[in-house]
Amino acid sequence: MTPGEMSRTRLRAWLAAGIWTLAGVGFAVTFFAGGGPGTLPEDSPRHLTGAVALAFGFLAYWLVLWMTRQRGGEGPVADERDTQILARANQATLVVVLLGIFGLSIGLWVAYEGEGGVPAGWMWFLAYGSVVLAFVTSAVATLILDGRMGGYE
Amino acid sequence: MSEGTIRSHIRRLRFENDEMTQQELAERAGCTRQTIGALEQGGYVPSLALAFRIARAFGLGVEDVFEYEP
Repeated sequence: MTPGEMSRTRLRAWLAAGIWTLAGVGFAVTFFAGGGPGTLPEDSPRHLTGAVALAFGFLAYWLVLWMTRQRGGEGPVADERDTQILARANQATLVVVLLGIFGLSIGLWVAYEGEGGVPAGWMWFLAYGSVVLAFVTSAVATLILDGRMGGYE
Repeated sequence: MSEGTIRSHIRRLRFENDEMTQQELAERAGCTRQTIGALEQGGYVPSLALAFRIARAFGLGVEDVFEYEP
């Protein structure tokens, strides 16, 4: 299937999946390289790199939305089927992000229970990670649902 | 109670209408080509409004285009 044969929703989802996976890898490398959560609070360059990774995700995704926008004289680029796909994808995203945050929070509690406190760097990971997880999950769920609901031969 | 299934005759009707393309039908019905493809494959059940628009694009009634099987 070429990009021209894809619906605008599918094309956006593929691009979003790529962009946010890249941003996530950048953010994860930043987090785990150079000492992990323990040294993060005092490491400003790593804060900045992580923020740049996330900013890249938002800017690139915004650019994709802008470049694939509805143009004058063009037929509808999205319809009720796309709305339904996105609604279901968002439902799936909500559940996955909730489970992700729950799982990581409980995991941290179990891991650091005996120490009386969790390194503050993990809160940074939780905050940034939940954003990346939400966008990647939404894109992947959109691709799965778009495939399952037909439209491609 | 079972929801039943909705079958469409869109593919046949397109060919009976001068081999109308999916894109042409989509433009007439105000939806995307992929939705027409999904309807032909039975992967998507349209809203009542879209069903009417598709039927009108063929100059037919809804029940001539879509069939309900309990």
